[in-house]
Amino acid sequence: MDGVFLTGLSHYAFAIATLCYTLSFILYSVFLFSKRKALGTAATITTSVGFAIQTTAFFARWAASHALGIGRVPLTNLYESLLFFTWSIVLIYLVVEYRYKIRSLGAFVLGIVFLALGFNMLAGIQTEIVGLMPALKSNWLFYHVLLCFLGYAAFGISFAVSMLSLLMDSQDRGRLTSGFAGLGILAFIIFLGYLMAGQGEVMKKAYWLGLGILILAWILFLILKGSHHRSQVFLLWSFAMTVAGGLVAVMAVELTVWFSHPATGSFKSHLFTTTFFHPFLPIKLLSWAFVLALFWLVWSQGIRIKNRMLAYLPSPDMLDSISYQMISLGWPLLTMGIITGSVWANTAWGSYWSWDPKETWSLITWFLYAIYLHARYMRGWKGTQMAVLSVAGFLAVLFTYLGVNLVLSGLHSYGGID
Amino acid sequence: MGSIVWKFLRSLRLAIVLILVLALASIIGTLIEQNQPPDYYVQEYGQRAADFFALLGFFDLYHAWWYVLFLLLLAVNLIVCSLDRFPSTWKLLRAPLAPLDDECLKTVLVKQEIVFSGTHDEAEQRTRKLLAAHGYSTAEFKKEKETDFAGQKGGLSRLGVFVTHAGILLILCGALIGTLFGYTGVLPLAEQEYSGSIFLQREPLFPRIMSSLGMQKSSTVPDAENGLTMPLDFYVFCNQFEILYYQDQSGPSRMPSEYASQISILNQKGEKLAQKRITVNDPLTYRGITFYQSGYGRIPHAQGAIELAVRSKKEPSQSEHVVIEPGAAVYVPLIKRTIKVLSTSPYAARNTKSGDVVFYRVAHGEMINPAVELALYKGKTVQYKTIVMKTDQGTPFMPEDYTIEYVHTWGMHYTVLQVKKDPGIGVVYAGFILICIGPLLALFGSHKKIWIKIQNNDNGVSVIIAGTAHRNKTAFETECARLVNEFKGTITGG
Repeated sequence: MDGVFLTGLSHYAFAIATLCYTLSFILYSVFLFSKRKALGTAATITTSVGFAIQTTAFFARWAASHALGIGRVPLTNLYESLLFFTWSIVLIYLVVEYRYKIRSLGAFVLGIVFLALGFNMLAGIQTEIVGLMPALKSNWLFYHVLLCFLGYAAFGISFAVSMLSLLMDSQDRGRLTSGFAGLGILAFIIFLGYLMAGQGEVMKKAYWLGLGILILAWILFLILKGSHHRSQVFLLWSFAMTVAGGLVAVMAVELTVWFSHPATGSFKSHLFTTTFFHPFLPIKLLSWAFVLALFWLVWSQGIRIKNRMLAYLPSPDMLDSISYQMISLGWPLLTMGIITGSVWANTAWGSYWSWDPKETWSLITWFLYAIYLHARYMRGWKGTQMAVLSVAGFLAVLFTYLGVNLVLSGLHSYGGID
Repeated sequence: MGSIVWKFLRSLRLAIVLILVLALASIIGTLIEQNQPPDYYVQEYGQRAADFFALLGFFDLYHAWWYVLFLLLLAVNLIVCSLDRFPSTWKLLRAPLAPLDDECLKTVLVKQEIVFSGTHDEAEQRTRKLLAAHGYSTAEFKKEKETDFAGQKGGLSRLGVFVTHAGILLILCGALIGTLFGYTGVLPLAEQEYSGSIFLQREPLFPRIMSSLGMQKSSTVPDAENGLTMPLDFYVFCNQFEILYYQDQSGPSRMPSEYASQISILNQKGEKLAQKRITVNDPLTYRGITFYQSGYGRIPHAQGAIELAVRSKKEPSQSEHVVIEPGAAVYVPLIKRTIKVLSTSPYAARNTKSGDVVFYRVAHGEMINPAVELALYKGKTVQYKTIVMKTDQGTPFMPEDYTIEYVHTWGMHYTVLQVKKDPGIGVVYAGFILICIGPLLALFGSHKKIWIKIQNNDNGVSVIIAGTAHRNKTAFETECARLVNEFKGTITGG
């Protein structure tokens, strides 16, 4: 068939699949609060339909590349890898949903999918099918990317499960003062970010570095002592949900704008200038107020939501077990993904490990999940600690996947979006 | 004292702390650009911070003494903990199967009793069939009124963790061998040039230590420009280097699709020992030394010489190759014409409809689709002029009974080969295989044991089925339930 036609077909099919997943995300979210079984069923159906369409789109794109005389697997740039990531995560999710008969994870998993696809549409990244640079022309490419992304997807599900079990774990949210303290910290972080961003590149870097260290230290503290500090676990959950919710909100607004007149310029650069750093003061204030309000809402309503959901949520043991199974699926996949990449690097450059940032971050991720497995199997850790560790692991995955390309530089530069 | 050290070294806590430290240190290494020239760091961080970071080894962090020390400690931890745990696991695996006793019955995961309607022999028959069908290796114990079956499978999964750890250790060993005896060098070669030595950044560690101890003569020679040169015991010859470009509808695009060097290995006498066209993902290995296509460059001020193939239209097998420098002319006996190269262009494309040739600008002289303008002389008179190019979308103007094709422009580029010797690579690959298999064994497998006790009592025959698994317990429970059902099924089914 004609390459142009196939390319067009795959683009449309991806767009329809994106709409299906967006609908599923909404349905699963409403299902979480409403307990209507029909909504859950509908969500599963739209997800499955979206998945079937996306599968078609994937093969159409593959066929298109052959028809265009390029002939390569559609797994080679940020656009294609994000699509494949969402495809893998939906695949594994559907298997989990079928096997464990639970739908309450759907909102979290499809939330990740929605964010990834929204980012993909808005980031202004290249969607054309172009030839591969000579270094990427290898049979190892397919296995390397396939294994890594299936692994990432399994970790993604584990993350969603862990977010849910963190919520389940939060018996109380602490006193009102801790909510205000959280609000204060959040406001302070935003304000400091605003001040330091204006002071040049060095200050900006210092800000992110400091924030990173702070979050790392906090997570480490919660992993070690989390089970004794339930209110802090809940605070972590609230922060994470605020970030996720904020992103979803921004994505929703940006997508609406994008549909009315497709974005000009890079999403990366205008994400903050259309919100927190908008030149128009009321919008600036509104964005900040929105984040603070969102946090307050999540923090003050989280427990109530949990109590409403409690009756039909899976037991904490079950969540723990699913999370563990996903990681014990993802970790061997990631291992093989890293190894295939390593063998490939050796045939292309004569060095199987060169400490390139992407490699190093994948090793860090591998280390974190190795700790997870050992702590669980040898020391019998369960519950909160494991959930926090799984969340930390997925943060490392996200950084390996996106952060390295957006922030650092290296061999895997296919992910850049400027 | 010894036991305290042993306990400390085998502890999981140490492993976790080491992994965390390595992970955190690695983060620093990704934030600070590694192995840059000193000026870069001074400019980036200021003199004082740069000095401080250099002291901590942050600029070559993954080879800093303390980082390597932590890696070694981790290796020691892995070895000690494996040595500590392996004997008991091995004993467990080698232990002969024993009938179900009361002690065991208390700890099993699944236990079910069935009243069997058939005879004792029938029950035995079915048990044998069932256990064999489920892949259990079994043992039978006969007593007066009782037959005991014990079966197990998946014992290998208990070894998964050791396989994984062995894999990591092998990789580290291989890396060490590579550092001690291996080297990485570069070899720039112009077309038709050969070399009997390569440039090294640094000498392999082992000979460096030996020569600094005065026990061995260094195999390298310092070179003012390129660091060190090291002689090879053969010659490397670059026959040709070319860059291919992707084609789109209108012809070649600016995107390279392949870098390729024709490489030969020659001995002292100039005899060919090996040859290969190497590309980025397809190197040449000769006697443990591998040559990778790693880069290329343009030879300054080179004009190049154009190779053309002249072919008779009537008999395409009759052809003659000529090499002509720009501006020069060569007489071709086959067609009795003199070909003169009037001009050359690095990037041209022909409009298929009008036949016009369009010349494109290139930024750095990349030979994307080289074209040459030719004049054909019969004696001293010009017969016609034409343009031929590497990849032609249309057909060049060829009025006489022969065609002229563009073949190659010689002498424009040099190729850069990466030369690598890594005697540890086999060990590393063995480690790779183990580290891929290990987690699969450990995380997907499970050591399962099943006991079936057939007893004659007053009411007839009773069967007890019990089982246990060391991992994936829920899955095992389902499997056991199926097993029991099958047992019952064979009973009702006769």
